[in-house]
Amino acid sequence: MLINTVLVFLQNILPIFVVISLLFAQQGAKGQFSAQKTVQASNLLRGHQSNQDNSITADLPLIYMLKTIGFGFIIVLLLSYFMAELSQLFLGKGLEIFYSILFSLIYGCIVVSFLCTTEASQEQKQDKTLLDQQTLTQKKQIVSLVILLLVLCVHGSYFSLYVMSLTIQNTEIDTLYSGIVVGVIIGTGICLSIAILLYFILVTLAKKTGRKIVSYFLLLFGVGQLIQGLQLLEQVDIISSNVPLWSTNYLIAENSELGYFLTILFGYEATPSVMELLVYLSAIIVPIFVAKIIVYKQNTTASSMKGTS
Amino acid sequence: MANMIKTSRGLNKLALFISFVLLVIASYNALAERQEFTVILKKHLFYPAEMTIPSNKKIKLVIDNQDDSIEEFDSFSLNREKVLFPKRKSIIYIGPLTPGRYDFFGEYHPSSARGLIIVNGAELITPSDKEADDVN
Repeated sequence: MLINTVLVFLQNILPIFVVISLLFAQQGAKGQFSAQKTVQASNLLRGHQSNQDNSITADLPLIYMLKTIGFGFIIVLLLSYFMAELSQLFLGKGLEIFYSILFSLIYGCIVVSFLCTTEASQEQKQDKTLLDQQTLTQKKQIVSLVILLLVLCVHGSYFSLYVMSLTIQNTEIDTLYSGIVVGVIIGTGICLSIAILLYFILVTLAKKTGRKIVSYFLLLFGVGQLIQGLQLLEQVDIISSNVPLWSTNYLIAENSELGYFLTILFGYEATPSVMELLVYLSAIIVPIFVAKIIVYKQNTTASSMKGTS
Repeated sequence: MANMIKTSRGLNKLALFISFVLLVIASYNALAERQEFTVILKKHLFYPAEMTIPSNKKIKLVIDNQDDSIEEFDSFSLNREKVLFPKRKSIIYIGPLTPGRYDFFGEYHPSSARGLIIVNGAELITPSDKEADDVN
């Protein structure tokens, strides 16, 4: 029971730790960038400029994050309580439809966050007013919290079901709780280690290659979530599934430790179908293309405004 | 500003088109008839533990959980994951699959709740191939 609890915990709770790590890394990368900018700015401009920059840096306050997690726990409990009824809706397809909507929402919010990051970096380059930048930061803050809440609800509810299934069984109370408690402690330790390691890798990468790299990782995480939603729709025959295009199970098996991690990080699929591949590629390309359009339009507007002044 | 409005209108049209395509695909699949197979989960064991299905065809798999506890049907090779609520029947669709052996298990009781789906033609697989499958 202990090993199984750890495995189920890792499978369901690791995505929550990964998304927290990605959101913090996005903030950390921005913090570093702003700090560098502040040093440069303070050398050139007045002293109070640095205070203004610091106020924009506070992307994801910890207190809001903790409140979101608390609120998420309540939704997780409610979801797992009503999950059985939910599964019976739409001729037994209710759960798949509901969760695929939630997975799509996660992806949608991540795309909005990705576009906000692009817009914010453009505004910083064009030295837009502090008010504009603060509005965008607030928008991004809300989107980040919604992403966290959705990931917590979707993945947390599956683990909550597992705990519920254990409590229903007639197992000895000591064995049961030692299995759950020790399993959760070990699982949390592993998840924390992976999340911290991922955070430092991302921050270091952002330092070397530019802070947008974290946004791309977040986008890939979102695409992975979208693919999970798509697989749920394939499972209940709402979307047609085809014969797999290839199998990379001999390279990285999906049920291996690395396979688990890659599946969570960017939706690794050893046996993708045509539909999955098309959705995967377009889910990456479309937001990047839209971001390029936004950058192009902002640059055009800025240059035309300079021309008129 | 006018450019922004144009872009949002374009995106709205794209979203409408995608929704329409998805609706057409969904309606087509809903009308299609699928061959039905049933698996029973009792005392954390799947009955039958092995079943043969046709190759390159999508089938409907009804899983009847007769236990008092929740279970999760899980299969990496089939790309399927379904919560099975106690005393309820759940439906999933599998395939089309190429000939081979596809294992599944109950995630909450992986040591006892195990099963295998054999897709027609898989019987011809040699023992060495089977060993290679097990390694993967």
